[in-house]
Amino acid sequence: MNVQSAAVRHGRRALASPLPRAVLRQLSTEVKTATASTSTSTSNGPAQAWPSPQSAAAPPKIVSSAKKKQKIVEEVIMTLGANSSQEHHGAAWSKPHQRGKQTLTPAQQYAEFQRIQKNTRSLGSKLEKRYVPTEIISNPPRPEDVTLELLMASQTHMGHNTSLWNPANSRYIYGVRQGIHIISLETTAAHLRRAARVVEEVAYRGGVILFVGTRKGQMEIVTKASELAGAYHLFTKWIPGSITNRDVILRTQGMKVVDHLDKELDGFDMFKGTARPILPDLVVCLNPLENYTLLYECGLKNIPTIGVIDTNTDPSWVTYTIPANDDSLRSMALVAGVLGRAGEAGQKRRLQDAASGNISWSTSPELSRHMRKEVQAAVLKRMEVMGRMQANIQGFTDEEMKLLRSQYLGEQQEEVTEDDLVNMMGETVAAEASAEKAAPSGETVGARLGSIEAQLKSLQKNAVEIEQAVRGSI
Amino acid sequence: MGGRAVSPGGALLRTSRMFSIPKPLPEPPSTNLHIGDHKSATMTRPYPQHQSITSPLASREKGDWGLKRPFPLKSTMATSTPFIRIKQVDTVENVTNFASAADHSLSLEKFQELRVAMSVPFNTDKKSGDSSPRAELWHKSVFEEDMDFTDFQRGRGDDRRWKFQGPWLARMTEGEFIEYLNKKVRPKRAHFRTLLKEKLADDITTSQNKAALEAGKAAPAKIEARDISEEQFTDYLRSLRNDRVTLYALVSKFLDLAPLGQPVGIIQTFWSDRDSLAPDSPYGKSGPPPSHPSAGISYLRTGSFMENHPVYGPQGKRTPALARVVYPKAGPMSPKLGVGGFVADAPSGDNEFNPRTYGSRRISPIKSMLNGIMHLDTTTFGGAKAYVEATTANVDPSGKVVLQLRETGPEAQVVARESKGLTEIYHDGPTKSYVPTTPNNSTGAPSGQEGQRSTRVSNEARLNRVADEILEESLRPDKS
Repeated sequence: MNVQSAAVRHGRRALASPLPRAVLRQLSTEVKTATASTSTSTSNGPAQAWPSPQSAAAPPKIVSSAKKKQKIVEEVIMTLGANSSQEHHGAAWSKPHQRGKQTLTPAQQYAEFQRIQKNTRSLGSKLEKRYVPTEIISNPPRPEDVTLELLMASQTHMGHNTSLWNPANSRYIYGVRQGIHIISLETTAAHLRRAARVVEEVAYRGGVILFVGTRKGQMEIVTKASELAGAYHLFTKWIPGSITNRDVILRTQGMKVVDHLDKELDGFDMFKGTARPILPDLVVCLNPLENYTLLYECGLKNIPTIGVIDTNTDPSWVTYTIPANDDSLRSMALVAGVLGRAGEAGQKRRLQDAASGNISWSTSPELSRHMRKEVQAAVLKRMEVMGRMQANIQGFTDEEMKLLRSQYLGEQQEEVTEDDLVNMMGETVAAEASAEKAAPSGETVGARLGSIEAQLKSLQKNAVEIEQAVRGSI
Repeated sequence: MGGRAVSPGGALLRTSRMFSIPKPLPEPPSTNLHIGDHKSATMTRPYPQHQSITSPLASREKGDWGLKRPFPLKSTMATSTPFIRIKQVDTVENVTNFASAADHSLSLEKFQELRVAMSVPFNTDKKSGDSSPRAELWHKSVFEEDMDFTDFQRGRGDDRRWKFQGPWLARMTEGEFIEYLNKKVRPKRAHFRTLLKEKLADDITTSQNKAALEAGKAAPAKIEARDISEEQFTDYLRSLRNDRVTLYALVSKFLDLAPLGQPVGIIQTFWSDRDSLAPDSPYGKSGPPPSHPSAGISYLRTGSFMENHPVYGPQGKRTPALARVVYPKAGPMSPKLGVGGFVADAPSGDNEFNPRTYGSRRISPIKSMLNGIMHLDTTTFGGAKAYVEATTANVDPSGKVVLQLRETGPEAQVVARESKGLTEIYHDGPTKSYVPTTPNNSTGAPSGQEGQRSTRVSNEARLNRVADEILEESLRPDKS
């Protein structure tokens, strides 16, 4: 284990209310069944754990009245990532029906269908589905794939009613049509590319990115984007003060210390218990209008923010604006997907460089301080122990040694481990000194060692004190 | 294209579907049919005002209609007619104002199912019939080249076009008319006077040339407009005042007024030699239509085609449509039938919709009157219905589609009923050849089915055949 390359990066805790994926799944599958099967074992599953279109398509039972039907539709949560309804092109196959003069059972119907398919498969033209709506979630475009056509098809150009505008956005506005402001597609593309660049670099430098989208339907958008970018997401209300008052609000949340290859390091329990909660290094906000508190707190703590700015939003709330329509789910899915892809690229690049020995980030000051302090404490302890051992050799009689042994017999194991630890620490210091700081620090350590060894001979007094302490403990 | 250079995004936006949504049409004027100006916010307007928009299922279930925000699934998914009209893309309340457009979308679908060709309105004024009475026997399509144009061209009947710069004076209210006089007509006085002067100069030149030609002299110098004295011009104006026909022609040509109906007192010969005001404008009687006379509801050029039945072969009548009596006969007003969402007058003539008999000339006294014609039928479920055939339609000046109906034949009705599975007259078994009996012999035939006869032998033969088939059918279940 290399303490040197340890870092606090993945403070593994939900920054807001810890709503696990299991709940998310439950929300999305509520429609079809009672959702008894969603166990926590699948809670960590990837996005493929979303309900498949087939299973979600079949309604639980045939509803007769229009009111019931409407209610079912009402309860459907709008998701971009899955098809929830199914088109019926003919009679259902699940029951026998008349075909010509004979009644076909479902099995016969299927056999007939297969026969026709087999005979006609080679005929006709090949139908290509150009636009698959679920692709925007399952396979979002990369920043370099963003075209003006894609932006327009995703409705990013539609601003708000002309009477709702914020004049600070006039530089993003192309014109007025149908009573709404039209946001310039070129501006959106340029700003989106810039924001993608920011996300990618922050991800490359190992920063903590937070995707925020708290409107209805943005849940899967932000979860997917954060999953791609190795980031964090928030789709419920931002708890005010989670940045400025984080010591209180996020006290109970856990933290993770990882190395340069994102493997968790142990031995930092002390640090995890005492360190302050982590701040994000970049916040991506899909609906700034509802998250003013978050953006304000970010501003107080100098955290850069990326925000989707519709024509009625104040662009000065965020650091990097993306002028776009923030009401359309498709537009939001595009923006978040592009940023997620950018983050993915950044993470990939970081891990590649780390594997070849280039670490693109530096350890946080708190952790460095902690590690330095730990090392110093360990060195001091070793000196102490070594001094005591020398005193023991010189001062104790055989009876006293026996007594001591019998006393420490139970704790021998611990003593050994402590010794090991001390040795290890010493080695670490030596390694660190040789690898990192080179000569000067090594010299200082050596000098200190020498001075302490010089003092060892006069440590009789200390040995006596220890002896007294031991007797006292008895 | 070829206009101002725009950015790529701008060019893209201009071709987008949202930008191509047309501006909404004005609210249709309320009809004066009902006293009290009956109006409802949810009634189907006589013509659609907004474009109808739909979205594929895969997008619709995600609320994606290509507009500002996703639409609520409650209203857009729980329907079998996913058509909406957008009233406002975004409002100050941060919602999109939309409503269902299923009414007009389905009306259009039903109308196109009727396969009706639009025609220019029938000009009843020309019944005096001097030129070609045969031309009035059939309807003329609105897409005929001699009628379907908007620009002015010399050499063709200018007033046969359907669009004019000026208004149709007969439809204007008094206030509108006075405002038109003040705003549009008065400022053009000077221009009109110069035009008149030029015309006077031309007239004088022509008459001088004519006189010189007759006298065998050389043509005198051309008279210019500036050569005309004020006195001469005043005299000309006075003469014009008395010659109303010429004056009206000049004024309406100058202001490009839509043609008015011919004044009753004016002799037809006056009109025939004037090229400017062509007398045969189809819109003189009721005013020009507000749009192209087809109104975009049908693009068929003619209804003169013959339908072919897969079993029975070519059909004399087209597939009839089932009509419902929506309004019984009230005084001189003919009963109203609802066909495919359009209300139309019942077909005239001697048929089941018309209680009027031509004295004792009624040929088939057994022919029963349809229920609900004389008074509203409250006993039949859904109202009294009958098969009719839609012949043609035109657009009236208020934008309404006026459908013309025609009586359909009994065979067509039977075939239509069979295609719906209501009757079954076709059978594969061996048929014996039919020997026509004496026309008035009705022995052995039920009077209700057999009674419908006409004098024409071919019709009767066919009808007999049909009745025979029905009989055969009624016998068959007894055998089996």
